[in-house]
Amino acid sequence: MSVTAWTRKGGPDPMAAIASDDEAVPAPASYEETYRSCYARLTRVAYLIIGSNEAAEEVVQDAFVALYPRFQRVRSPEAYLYRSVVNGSRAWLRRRRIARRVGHAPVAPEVAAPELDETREALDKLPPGRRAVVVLRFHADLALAEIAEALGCGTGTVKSQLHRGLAQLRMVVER
Amino acid sequence: MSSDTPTSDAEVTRRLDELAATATLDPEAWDKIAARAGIAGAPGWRWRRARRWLPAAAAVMVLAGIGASLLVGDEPDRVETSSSGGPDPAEAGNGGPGSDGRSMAPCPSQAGIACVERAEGDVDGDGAVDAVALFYELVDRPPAGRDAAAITVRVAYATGETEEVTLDGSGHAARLVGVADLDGDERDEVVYVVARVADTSVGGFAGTAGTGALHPVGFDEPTALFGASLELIAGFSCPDLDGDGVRELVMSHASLRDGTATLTTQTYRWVGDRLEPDGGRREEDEPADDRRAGQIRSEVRGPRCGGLDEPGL
Repeated sequence: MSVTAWTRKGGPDPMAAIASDDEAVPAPASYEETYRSCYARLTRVAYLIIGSNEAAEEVVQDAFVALYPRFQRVRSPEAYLYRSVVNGSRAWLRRRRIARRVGHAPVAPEVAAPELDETREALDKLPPGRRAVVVLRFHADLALAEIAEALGCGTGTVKSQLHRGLAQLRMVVER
Repeated sequence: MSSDTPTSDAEVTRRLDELAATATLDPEAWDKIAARAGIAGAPGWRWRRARRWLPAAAAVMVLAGIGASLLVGDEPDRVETSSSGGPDPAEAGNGGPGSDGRSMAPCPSQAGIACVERAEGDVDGDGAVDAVALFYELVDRPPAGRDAAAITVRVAYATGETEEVTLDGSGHAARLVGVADLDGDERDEVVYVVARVADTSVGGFAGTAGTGALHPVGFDEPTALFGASLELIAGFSCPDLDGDGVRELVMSHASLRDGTATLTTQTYRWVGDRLEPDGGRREEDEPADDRRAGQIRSEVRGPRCGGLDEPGL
């Protein structure tokens, strides 16, 4: 892949990027490193929220594409990506709701093992926002403040959503 | 809270991790991102970079009624307009001037069409009520299900004619802001916003209909409105702030962080047939809990520019 020829060792740490008005093209090395460190994690988060592998990849790729021109200006690319992925996932779920309203429900995700199926079903019963909170806390292991930033809400909302979401999930896992 | 029962918390984490592990990763993901982002060296980067804003930019040009045939020739599957001489068969009950606008149905009644929002207004200024709709055309994208392929804004005139603008809807979201006479020409403008769902910049457009062809007004290129995706933009309103008979377009956004609600507003005024920002964005902070923040969002979300008969999604 020709893009890898742009990789520069010793580039700035993408997580240490600070706000800047510099409109220069971002250093591909840092951007690519951000991709390498975050892509798989974000795709799994989106997959847990959405339930569709293909849609999850689309949402995460959209988030990375949106990040590129802003890479040197955003304070934390990872926080930006989490927020984009959560927003993108919720938008995808909203579009799916529209599809269902016109009588075209998407194909149900295929999960092989019964226990996984059960987890998927339990997740799908949570409202999208609450589902995102649970996934970000218990799978991505984000702090409450980080989740609040990703969802654009307060930590109080995160706590209450987490409490309710966990209560619903426990009914499944403690059976 | 999560620390109450560590065993079940761990069990929830284990279950989620196991389910997440079933996700597969596209080995060509980086190539796709690099190409779409326009990173030099990626296959097709020049074309893809130029194409990022093309649907939105093209839509404005079509609204202008100039270069439409050129654009349609270049991108026939992305942008097109239509203007039919007779009634649209999908618009049952279109009874002409003075008829009940609600009986008009500008959204096609067929499978695969999701009618997002409808509105009414006098778009061509003939004194009769015209119907406006924004709808998505959905296509199969297995295994993800159905996804938006096109976003269409259609005007069904009381005379029986229809006009529409269609944009590429993939990965985009759109809202009909309202139908109102913004520039004081006694013809209502159709105001709508299109945004990439995962993007933080938003393109906003206003278009008006006139003498048989949609005519451009408003923004002539995608305009970043707020640092938020479309669903977080709280509201739009069209007050006549200075009482000169020409309405301004006010866009508002409410957010909550660390117990402080911030209401950001930006006013746009007409300069010729263009909307220009009137000064900078105004921010007002107030201490707020989640409940108060919800109230603020609801207030800002309230009535938009008039003419809407269905709430947005």
